[in-house]
Amino acid sequence: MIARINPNAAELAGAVAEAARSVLDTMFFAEAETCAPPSPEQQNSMLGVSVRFDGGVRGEFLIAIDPHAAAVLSAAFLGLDKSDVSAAEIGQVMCETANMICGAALSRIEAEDHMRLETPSLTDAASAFARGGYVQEFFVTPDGNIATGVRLSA
Amino acid sequence: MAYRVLLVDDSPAMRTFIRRVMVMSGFDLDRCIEAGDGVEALEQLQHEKVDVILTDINMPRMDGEELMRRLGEDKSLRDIPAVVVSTDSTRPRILRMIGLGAQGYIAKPFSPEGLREALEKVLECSV
Repeated sequence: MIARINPNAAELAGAVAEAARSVLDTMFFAEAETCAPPSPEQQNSMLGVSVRFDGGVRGEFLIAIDPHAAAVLSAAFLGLDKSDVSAAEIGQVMCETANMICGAALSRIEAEDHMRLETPSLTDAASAFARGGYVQEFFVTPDGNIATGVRLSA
Repeated sequence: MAYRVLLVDDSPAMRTFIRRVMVMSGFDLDRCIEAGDGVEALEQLQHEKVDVILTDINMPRMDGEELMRRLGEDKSLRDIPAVVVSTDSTRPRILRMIGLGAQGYIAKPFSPEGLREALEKVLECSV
């Protein structure tokens, strides 16, 4: 039987912030600073990805990325010019970004090897965030905003 | 010496990134064969000879753990060095994958230098 752990909101937020900065810096060569939440209009236009996870903690990780930032980050990741990156490729890179940030954050919390991540999927992150219950962090990069959220379930 | 690499990851974007980083970092890459999961990897290994395998853990159909187990059970494949590339960097997971025969473990996110160093270390040891 897997022993559940129960991190508090500050621990979750800290783990996600560290993981997001590390992933953006190491894999995308992009600097990210925490910032205030973007406006609801900006959040509505963001591309969203959801990753469900299970193990010592169970729940959902969400990431929402400004479309311009998503295109620039995807081009950097794939080694392409921004104008050559397709919508499908942006979706793939954003899913992998969510996977890496979620996995790296959980690795900072989990002590055992029970962590399981489901395949990331594109989602309407703004609506999900609007439903509430997520520990949220906001970042600004030179190319746009990124919002993350983690919600634990029993 | 140029190396043939089997890259196993269900994310096409991550496969592209790793392939690009291997070339960028100066790793001597002869050929990069790709597979989306453990099943495809074993199929590729039926007719492709490779010098090193890089594998993710979380994948559909057959994950990296089962792939490592199958490689270890196959006399013709067990000597190919394998390196795990995963977001899961918990110590018990790393130890379990090493126990299954992985010769290296790269935690995502990783730098180009980190990937190259891990590959060179494993390939030097296998020569």
